[in-house]
Amino acid sequence: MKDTFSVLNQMQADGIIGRYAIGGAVGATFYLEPVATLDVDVFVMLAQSGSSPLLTLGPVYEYLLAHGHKAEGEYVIIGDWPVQFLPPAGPLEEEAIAEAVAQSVDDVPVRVMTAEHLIAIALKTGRAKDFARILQFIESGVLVTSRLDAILARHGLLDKWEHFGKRFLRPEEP
Amino acid sequence: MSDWIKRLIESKRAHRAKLAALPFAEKLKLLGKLRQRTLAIHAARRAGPTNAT
Repeated sequence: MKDTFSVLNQMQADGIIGRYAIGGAVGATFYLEPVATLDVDVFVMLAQSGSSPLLTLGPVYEYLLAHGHKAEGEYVIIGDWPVQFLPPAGPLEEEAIAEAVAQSVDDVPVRVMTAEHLIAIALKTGRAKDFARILQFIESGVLVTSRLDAILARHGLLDKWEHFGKRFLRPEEP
Repeated sequence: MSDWIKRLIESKRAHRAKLAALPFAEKLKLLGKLRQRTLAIHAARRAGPTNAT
């Protein structure tokens, strides 16, 4: 994984990507116990290509293939890990990238989403495994509730949060 | 809920908290091992049942 992070940093230094942030299960692992995952989700701000106003992942794949990495479907294998590059789907992901936290793995810097942004994105995505991760976060006690509330309000996710609470956070039976 | 189940749940919770408290680099190494195990399980599933006699 360290090699993967080194490549991301080099891509940023070479201007292929802008800011990035690790999300998904690997991002969550910074805060929680490790849970099996097969890939690394990297949310990236993309550099604009030439005069085109469209932002595409083309230059990312071209760069990585030129540097000897292999593409497999929507993934690129970097180090031992399949990596999926995800441009921000909207303001929530853009904010998550902008506010990601700088960490270090064996002296290799890496940017990881905040726990609260990981939850908001999981809530928005809404698969069973996303809900399971949210429950893990709640149980872990690492959340800053006021920060999470502000993010959910800012991105129109309060209704989903309420629904999630009704579905999964009923008081325990005595 | 029986006392035995309560103790079991508490023990699992404590183990998870211990894992969560590891340094990020250590946890990433564990992720790598978990991934290898998951891939091995997937491969075994694809291979179908074996006759272990």
